[in-house]
Amino acid sequence: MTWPFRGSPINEYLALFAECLEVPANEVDGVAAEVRAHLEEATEAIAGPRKDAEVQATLALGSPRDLAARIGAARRHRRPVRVLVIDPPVQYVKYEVPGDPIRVHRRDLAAGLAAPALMLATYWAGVAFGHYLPRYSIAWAIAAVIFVAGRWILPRLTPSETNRLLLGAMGVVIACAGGSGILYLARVVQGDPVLWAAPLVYGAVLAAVLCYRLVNPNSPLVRSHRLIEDANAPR
Amino acid sequence: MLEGLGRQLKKGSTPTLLLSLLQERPMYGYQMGSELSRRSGGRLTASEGSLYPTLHQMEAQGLIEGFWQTPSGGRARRYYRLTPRGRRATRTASADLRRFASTLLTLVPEGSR
Repeated sequence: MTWPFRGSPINEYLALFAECLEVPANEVDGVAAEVRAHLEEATEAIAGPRKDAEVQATLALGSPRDLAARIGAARRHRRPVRVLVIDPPVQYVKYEVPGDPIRVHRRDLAAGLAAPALMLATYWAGVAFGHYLPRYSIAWAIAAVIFVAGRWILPRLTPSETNRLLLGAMGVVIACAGGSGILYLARVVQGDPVLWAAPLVYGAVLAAVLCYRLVNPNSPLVRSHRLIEDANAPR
Repeated sequence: MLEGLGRQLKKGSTPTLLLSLLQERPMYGYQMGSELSRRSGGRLTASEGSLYPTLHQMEAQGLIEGFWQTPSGGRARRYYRLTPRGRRATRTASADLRRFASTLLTLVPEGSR
């Protein structure tokens, strides 16, 4: 499907719409059926060949990704009632939110996403304090604050909002790492260059992955289907 | 700044207009859009893209409730009807909108430039 959206066949529209819709799993078919009924009726009301009428009807409704996001918006920022798994050996946390599918956050991924920011914090702690203060402790103190805030914020966001937030965080990391690199190369500051070069490369790779995940939310390359299906399986 | 004023006014009044339509009888999304356009002589059309998000938001707020109905020989459609809370909200919102519109008209009399 092209961007900006210029209309599409109804089946193609609904396939992407259902994929992007962030409502409880048992409601997806109902909402998609409602939109299908609308599109069918709108198509019949438009004179001309069926194919062109479908394109016009879908165009009037707007991008399927945008429509799905706006319909799902009413369910945002809902407080999880309980955390289902927090055992240290389990590398993911499951959250139950009333009326929503159980959400799964992988801990190792969260740590992986925090790594470039940590490296950068370590670099600047080293630049600021040299060897007189434990720079790794300073970096980890900053990380602890981020982790606590993240633990509160992430379960309240929908998956696409989480991707956008993380993408924004990577943008900030890349900008800071780039700025640090320029200052280092201009010999304004010193320090271990690995600690700004690695976040720069790592941040760029993660940003690319997040962009891909935002555009293809259900791609098997970036989503653990089994994990989410297991979490939502009837108990 | 004023370029989007008409659009903003329309957007702001869409929930009240939809609630007012549902006060008469249960309707489905496409029907509500068509009714708004017909009754306003084509001057007012609810943007189809904002119609369903607005309906789902009002449903989440408990103002309306949806239900499926299949007329004989027709296709299944999701109709919406007002809840008791929605009925009260409609009365308040309609009164507010009327008051706001009449206030605006006293400030901007006909023929003013």
